[in-house]
Amino acid sequence: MTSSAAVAVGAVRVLGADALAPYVLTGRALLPEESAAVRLSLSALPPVQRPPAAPPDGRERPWLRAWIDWGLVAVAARLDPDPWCVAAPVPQGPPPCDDSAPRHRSADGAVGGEGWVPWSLRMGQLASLALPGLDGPVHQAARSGALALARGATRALLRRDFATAARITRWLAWLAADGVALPLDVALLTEDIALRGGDDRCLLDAAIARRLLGLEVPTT
Amino acid sequence: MLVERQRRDGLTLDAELLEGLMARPEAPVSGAPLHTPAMTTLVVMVLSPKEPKEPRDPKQPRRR
Repeated sequence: MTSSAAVAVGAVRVLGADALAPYVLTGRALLPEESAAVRLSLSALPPVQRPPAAPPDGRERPWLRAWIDWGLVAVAARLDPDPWCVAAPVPQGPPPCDDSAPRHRSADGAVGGEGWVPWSLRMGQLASLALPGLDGPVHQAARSGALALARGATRALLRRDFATAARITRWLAWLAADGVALPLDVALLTEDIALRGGDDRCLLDAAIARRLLGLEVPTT
Repeated sequence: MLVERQRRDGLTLDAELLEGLMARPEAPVSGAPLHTPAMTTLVVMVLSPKEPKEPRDPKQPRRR
């Protein structure tokens, strides 16, 4: 195996379900070589079978990887006609973040949960799960935290952190596609991020958000 | 970059490095423009003393 192929195998894992987003969003059949790349990536580092508890109680990075792996396996198993022998358990969902959540967690941590700033940032790190057909505890948390996500996306945009803004906006677009009422114009937000954010990953998130919102129609 | 190890039976990925790439933290420094001039600039402008003027040349005594 060449070094570039090894990097590609790692890139599939970093992208997670987004590696297969073109097939999810266009409905095209998964190519055999794409399926083989995902299988090879998962065999190079199998998903964690006992995911840690959700942060802030558990370790954040292994928990994030467990969720990103879950999304990749769930999408691949749905698209691939051949049976899958790789299992990715459903990790613990993130804590809820309702409209009364403060900006940050209080000193004693007893009231208000974690705060909408760290909560929305962590949801942004799980943006690859914001795809049609995926649903689980993270998506349920997104449904209950629409205002926190809107606050997080706005905060990131004002900081000119377009990559973070695009990731959180993915969730807002997913919620809009799910029929959830939002406190802001997510189409306008997506267009602004796509125009001003120059990073490739940012543009990928913005492009997927546009698809979720129906702003781009798949070409046949 | 990812660290990979070639083995006879295939490829392995380093879990910790992969998790670091997946984490994608927010940008550490805000690039947002300030709505007003920074207060420190204003304070410095107010408190800074005026530049001392050049002393005038002493006048020559008049000759009678």
